[in-house]
Amino acid sequence: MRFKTVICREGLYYLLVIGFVMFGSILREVNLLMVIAGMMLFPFFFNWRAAVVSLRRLSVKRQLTHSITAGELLVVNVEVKKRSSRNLFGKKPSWAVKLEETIINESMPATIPPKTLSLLFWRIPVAGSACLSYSARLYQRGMYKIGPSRLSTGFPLGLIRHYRLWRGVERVVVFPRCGNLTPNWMRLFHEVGSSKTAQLRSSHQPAGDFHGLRDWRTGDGRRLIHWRSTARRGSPVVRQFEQQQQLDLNLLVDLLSDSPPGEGDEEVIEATISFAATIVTHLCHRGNCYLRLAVHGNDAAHHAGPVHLRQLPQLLTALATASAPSEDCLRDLLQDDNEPLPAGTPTLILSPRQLDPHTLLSQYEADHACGAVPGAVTCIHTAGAELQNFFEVPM
Amino acid sequence: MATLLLGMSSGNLVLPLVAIFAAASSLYVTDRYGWIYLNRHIANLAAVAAVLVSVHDFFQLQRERQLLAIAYLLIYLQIVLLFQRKTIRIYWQLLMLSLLQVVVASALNFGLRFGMLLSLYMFIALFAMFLFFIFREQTRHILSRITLPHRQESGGGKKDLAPASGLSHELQAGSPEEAGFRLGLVKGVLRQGSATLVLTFLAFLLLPRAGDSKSLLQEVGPRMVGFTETVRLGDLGTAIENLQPVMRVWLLDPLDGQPFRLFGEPLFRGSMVDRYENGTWSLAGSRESRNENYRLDLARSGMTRQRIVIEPLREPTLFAVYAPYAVDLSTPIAFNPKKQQLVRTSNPQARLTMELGTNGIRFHRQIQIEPVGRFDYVDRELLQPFGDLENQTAAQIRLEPLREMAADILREADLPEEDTTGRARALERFLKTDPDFQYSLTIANRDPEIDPIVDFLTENRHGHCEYFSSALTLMLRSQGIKARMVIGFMGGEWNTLGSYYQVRQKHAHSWTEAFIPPGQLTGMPHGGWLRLDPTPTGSSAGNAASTNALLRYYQQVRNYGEFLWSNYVIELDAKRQQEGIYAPLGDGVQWFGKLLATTFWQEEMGGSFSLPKDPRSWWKLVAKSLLLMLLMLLVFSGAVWIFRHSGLRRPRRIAKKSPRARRPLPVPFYKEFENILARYGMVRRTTQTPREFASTVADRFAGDATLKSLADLPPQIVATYYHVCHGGRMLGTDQLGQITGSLQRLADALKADA
Repeated sequence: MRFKTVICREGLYYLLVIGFVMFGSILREVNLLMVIAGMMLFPFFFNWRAAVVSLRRLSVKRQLTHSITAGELLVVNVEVKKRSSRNLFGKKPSWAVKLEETIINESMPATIPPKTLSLLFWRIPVAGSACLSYSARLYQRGMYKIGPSRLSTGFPLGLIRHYRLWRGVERVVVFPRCGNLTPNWMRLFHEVGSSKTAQLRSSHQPAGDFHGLRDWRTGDGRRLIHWRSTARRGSPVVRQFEQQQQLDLNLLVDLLSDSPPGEGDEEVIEATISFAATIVTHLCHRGNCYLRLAVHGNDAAHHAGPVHLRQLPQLLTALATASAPSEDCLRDLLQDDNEPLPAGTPTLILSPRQLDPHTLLSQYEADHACGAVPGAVTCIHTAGAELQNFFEVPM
Repeated sequence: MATLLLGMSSGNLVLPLVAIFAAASSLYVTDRYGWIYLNRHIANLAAVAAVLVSVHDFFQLQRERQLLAIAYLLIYLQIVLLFQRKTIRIYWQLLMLSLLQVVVASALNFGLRFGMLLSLYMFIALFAMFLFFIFREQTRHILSRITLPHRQESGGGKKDLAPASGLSHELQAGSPEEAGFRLGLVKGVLRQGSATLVLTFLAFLLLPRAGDSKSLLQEVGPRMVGFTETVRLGDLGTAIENLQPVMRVWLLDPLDGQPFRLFGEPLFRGSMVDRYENGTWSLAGSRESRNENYRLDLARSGMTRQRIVIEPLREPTLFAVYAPYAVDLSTPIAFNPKKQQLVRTSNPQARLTMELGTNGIRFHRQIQIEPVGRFDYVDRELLQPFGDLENQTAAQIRLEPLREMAADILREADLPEEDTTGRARALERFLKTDPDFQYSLTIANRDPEIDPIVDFLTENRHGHCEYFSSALTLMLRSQGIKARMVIGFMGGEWNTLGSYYQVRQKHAHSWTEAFIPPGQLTGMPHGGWLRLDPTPTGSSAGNAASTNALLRYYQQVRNYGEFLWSNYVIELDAKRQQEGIYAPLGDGVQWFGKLLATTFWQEEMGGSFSLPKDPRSWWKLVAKSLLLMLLMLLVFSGAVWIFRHSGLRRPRRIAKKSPRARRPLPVPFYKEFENILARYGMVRRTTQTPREFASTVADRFAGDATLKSLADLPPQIVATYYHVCHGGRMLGTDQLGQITGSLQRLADALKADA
């Protein structure tokens, strides 16, 4: 219901006294008691009328940033406007309007109950506005919905309270908090990246961009010989390539846990997400990287392409809204026919489960339906102590 | 205030004063300094003790005073609550107790003063409830901020990844004072209080009544002096100093029914005494008439009407201009021939409204000679103690000086024996005009050896109306003229607002009626009663008082207010409502019906329109005009309402962003910045941008030795303002704190510089 009027507890007591006085005045036919009953009754009606009129022609506008990192302060400016009225009796300001804001985490509505906070606008002038701010520190990643709001006032006596629902809603994404990547991680990352280069070298395939030609030296592969120039010069000439600095990564975030759901389980999942967010942030800042991120959210989220800081909010949003699946979906995360990975792209799987990369590789290579995993597969067990080798949990 | 009302109503001011003292002291010792608090258990025990004491009082007091026990209980509970720690609940309970106290007080007091204080109380109560609402909202708001769940920490060590919770607080919370609540509060109270008063009164008047109004306590009127069967000389003097209201009298013109003021002072007759013995008047006991009441004859057309409202009295005697005739036979009044009085047949201890006709007033003057009525006795008792002229009695001997004096006066007047009227008037004139006789309310030292009237005539020639009328009555009798002494009221205060006479006890008066034989009067076959008032004129106590015109006017207004309050509030019942409210309303509706007829328009508003000659009729015209305007306003409002709610209004234009709508969000700190500067005469012109203004201010600061250090501040604040206002930047707590500090520094520096 958009509008609602409620008699407050004080109002009920007040009505009780009015009833008592009226009953006495009728029973004993004492006129003065009737006068008192009237003197009490009309303010009650005025209260109702004033409360109803106060909430008319009000609109709520919020000004806020649409994304923050978990733990940061979300500042929301709320402006309540009152439109002017042509009504002769509608030129009065609104007094003591209470605005109740509801903040709901839409990503995990079951686990996190909605929070309500209230703002009190003492006066909202006609054809003007009143502005208040509040801040909320949100510790949990996710997609938060602010609103709908409830405006209410009991002005001037507080005997009756009139409520009005304002359906305007704003959404804020709370990104997962980032920690620190340890030197072990950097080492692992380079190992994973170098594995692709080694693979390319072993196949004598050019790695990197064309730089120029030079004379043949012992050990150069025949595939590198530039035959046209060799024929023109009469001596073997080979193509020279720039060393390729681009690091590619296929990052799969598996949130399915072996253990039954519990508190510890949630912590591990959050740690996994936080780890993934840190990796993504690191890669985005580093640039020159091709990243495919696959994570299970409300829907399995896939992102593939060269990363840049501009993509960071999108990637973090995917991670912010990720949730643990009810069944194994690793196949779904690996499979993406629309975005084929560059050859030799290594795959890093972050999972609370203990996974064997060789078994995984062979299993998925054998399965033609899901396509082959092009590079090496590395698994990090985030539920174990292995995580601490690569990642420091944010404080 | 409620406690005072209660004390005023119960007649006991001690307990209310104690309550007021408790309220004042609790304000300091409990609320302000917190020295004394009653904890909940002690408070409960005290409340139980108060209830027990009140129950005891309830059974000890008389039935009509039992309500007082409840009143005292409310005061006890109030005192207990005052010394408890104040919470919303306690405040609310105090408010409810206050309301209940007023309710109880209203059952004990019905005066106009109480009504006025009740209106004042309503305003104060509304104000208190407004304040209480603000207090409640603030308290609840603060509580809601405190009880918001803080960050939860799990025991797993990884507290930073604990399930979400929000710690929220306002950064820019307003306060009622800043919002201009003070002025708004007063305005609101005045507006709402006035509207409540008007609507309450209208609803009260229009709400149909089922029966007669009555009070919880039986009204007991004052004891009237001089209206019993025996009157001792001197009694009336004490009554003359009494301001207690006795009755209100409207004299209505027989032609147009409008109230009028009599030429001269009206005399309202009450009782008659005809037997004198040693300074005491009484009714003659020798008459055979049974002590039974007779109905009055119905008034004839052309008779002046008198509408009389008599306050509750202990005696059944009624007062009116004689001879009285009944207008409504159902009115509980009758004539008692033995007492020669108009009496009421209902309970005298309640207010009575009656309407009588009289032939005693003609052409707005009270006639001097009244025909002998069918219940009048004209016998030898009216000559007592001089009835037996042959055998001189002891009483006659005692009154011999009186007789001789009367005889001398008549001898000097040299009037024929048949001119009874002339002879009576000669005696009256002697007492009234002789400068030796003085009107006085002081008690004279009469010689106990002689008759008090003889003493009055010969030794101490001062006294009040009873002495004058007694002397005249006895002097008339001594000369063979039958006479009787009448006790009643003379004059009264004429109220110009209500066009009525307000008669009080101080207007009590006595005069003499002399019998004029039938042969000496035309048109009176049974003779007549000549009214003689020997008391010197200008002696009335009422005339001596309130010489100040303003004060007199105030008294009239107050008196009329009391009448209205009593008539239209306290005693408004079904009958009075029908007569005083519904009937005029019905007339108004009929007038509207006529208004719609063209002929009426022509009569009232046509070219031949002219102001009525009688100013009293102007009010009617004004009332009609106001009523017409009200009707037009109602029709217009109804039409506007229908237009707005029927969808006839043109569709709203597609929202086009007005400059106001595009206005950026208000930034409180910048507003505060401008306010601080404005206090010292630096006001931003409308043509200046904030940045230009800041630059101007900075230049000014730079040129001032004491403010030089603050020259960078205005541009910084304006830069932040631009970021927030136009750049959508959010300020954190730290930044807001810095800006607040800067503003404070600026305000302090400017203050020091000023």
